[in-house]
Amino acid sequence: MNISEEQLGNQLFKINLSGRMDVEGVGTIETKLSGMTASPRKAIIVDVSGVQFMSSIGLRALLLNAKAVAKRGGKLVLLNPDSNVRSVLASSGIDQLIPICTGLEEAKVKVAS
Amino acid sequence: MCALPSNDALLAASLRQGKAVLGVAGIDGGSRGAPRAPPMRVIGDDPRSSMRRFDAALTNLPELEDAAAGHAILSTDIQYGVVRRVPMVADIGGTVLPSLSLEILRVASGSSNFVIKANGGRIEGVAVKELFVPTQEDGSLWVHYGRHDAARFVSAAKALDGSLDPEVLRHKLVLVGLSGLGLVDFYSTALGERVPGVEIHAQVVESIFDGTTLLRPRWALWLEGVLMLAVGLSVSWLFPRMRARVLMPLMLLATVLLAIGGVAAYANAHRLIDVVSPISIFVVMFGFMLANLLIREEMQRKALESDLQLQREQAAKARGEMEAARRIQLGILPDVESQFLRESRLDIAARMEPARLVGGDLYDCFMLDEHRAFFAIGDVCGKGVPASLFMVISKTLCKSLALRDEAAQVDPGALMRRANLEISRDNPEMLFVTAFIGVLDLRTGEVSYCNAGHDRPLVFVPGSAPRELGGARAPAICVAEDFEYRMHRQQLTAGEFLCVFTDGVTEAENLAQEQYGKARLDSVLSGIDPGATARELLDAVCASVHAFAAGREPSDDLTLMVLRWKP
Repeated sequence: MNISEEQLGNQLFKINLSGRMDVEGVGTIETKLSGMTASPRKAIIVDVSGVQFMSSIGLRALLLNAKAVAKRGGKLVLLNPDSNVRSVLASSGIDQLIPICTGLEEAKVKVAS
Repeated sequence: MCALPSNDALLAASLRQGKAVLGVAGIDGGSRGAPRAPPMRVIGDDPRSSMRRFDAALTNLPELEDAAAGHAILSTDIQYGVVRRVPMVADIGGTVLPSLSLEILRVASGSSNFVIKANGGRIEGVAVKELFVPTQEDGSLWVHYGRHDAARFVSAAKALDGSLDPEVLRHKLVLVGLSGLGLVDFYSTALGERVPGVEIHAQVVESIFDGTTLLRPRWALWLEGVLMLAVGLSVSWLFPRMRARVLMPLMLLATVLLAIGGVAAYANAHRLIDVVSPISIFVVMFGFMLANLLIREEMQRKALESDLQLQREQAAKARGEMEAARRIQLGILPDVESQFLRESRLDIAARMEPARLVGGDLYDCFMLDEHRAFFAIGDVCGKGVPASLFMVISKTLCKSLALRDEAAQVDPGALMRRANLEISRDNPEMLFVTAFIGVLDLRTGEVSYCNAGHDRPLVFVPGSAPRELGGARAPAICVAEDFEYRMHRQQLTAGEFLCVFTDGVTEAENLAQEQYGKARLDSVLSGIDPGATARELLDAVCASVHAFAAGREPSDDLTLMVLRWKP
């Protein structure tokens, strides 16, 4: 798994995830992910277009970080999941807690609200 | 009688006839006046301080001395019983005498003096006319020994009784000496032979004549020192850095080169260089370091072995515990087939296959009362030990909550809400559980259910396409603490199958990393024989998944529960 981040604006960050979010994959990136979503960041877009496989462990990792950001009054959204990942997010009900966006502009809007 | 000349006078007369050289022996202690010596010519500085010194000499009778044409010194130095060097010149009480070999050559060549070439306190060599012999700094010569050659010797007895052919001795340098047994004038040569002293002098004369005298150069000691240092440093530096496989041939080559160098210097250039010392240093150091290395490696190997042994024991223990945990976990899951053996209205089969020794999937099925069957399936996120522990907690909690109320009052939605609260309470790892719980009324065939983020179960009649048990999507338990889970209802037809499963079925991967998928599951289910039992359906699905994923280790726990309502 690979993880990288970009700063899109003042206080607005985009995290790019790619690879398989299974037990091993999550293991390699979870510390970095927590670091990238840590205080004082409040507006975070997680681009998951490069994620080929999402397991329950991957969902948990996203959930933990989203909850942590929300607790601080911030917002985390997911951007461009592929169809497999999207169905996993839907069936697990995660999509009701973490907004899913299909374009960068939509994501910027959602994350600012 | 007194008128006859003395034997000494006769001997003196004989000596006077030919050209004879007499020798004296140097002695320490005593002073007897200066011995007779031939004239010496010095080129360079006064060499007397550098050469071998004796206080005095054991000389011949004066009339014999007068008769001799040459005067030499016979002494040599003996090192551990071996004569290795012979002084070519010696200082006896201030007078310098040449050695027998040098003096013989002087007299034979008709030269009036012998020459010493010295430079700043170091003798460079001696000479007679044009013949220059380089010597060591103290004027001595390393004897270049040949083997004892009996042909050199002529018996004096033959000379005395006249049977010796004079031609044998004509135009030769003849040395007269004593070789009888019991005399002390026998020495060991460097070749290990015991020869009379006179032969040593003869060998020196020969080597001077042939130009094969040996010289140990002045810089030899420096060279040897440098070589030893170089050898020592290179061994100690290279040894830890290079593999023995490379180092050994290198060392061997270096040793051989040194040896060849030493031998070549001796054979071709008549130079004496001690290569044995550097080679010895080599061998000793190398041997020492090798031994050290071997000992250390042995110790390391032993340490590793005992480490490995310890690890094996620990692994075996851990495995034993894990297998016990597996047995316990599988024991917690109900054996639904035997449990419901006597319930004719319900045909049920279930199976959980953990991906590792213990799994994070759960299923449960029990009667709430005589008509209502409660069933549940769940999937803790992750797998292995953490998930399995959480699985046990969830299952236990779920069952106790279900049994708390009146059977008729059991509302899966409310149950899910309560379970969500309870399980979220003590969840430091933030694990979540997807769950599907349902209550089947065996009189009516109605299923009331609630789905928390779980794969939607499939209902179907054999031969037709399976349908999902629908409803609004809800998140898994422990995702949102206060989620309002809702119950849904579905009416089953008689003989309809209900298939609940976890994503270990649909997401089973094969070697090409393809997933088993809903489509395959649908086709297996719809292709089932109408008279099949729940167990047969279960087996068919499991077999299909295993066949698909053949060769790959399971990536997730696989759980399947099949119910068939048979009113």
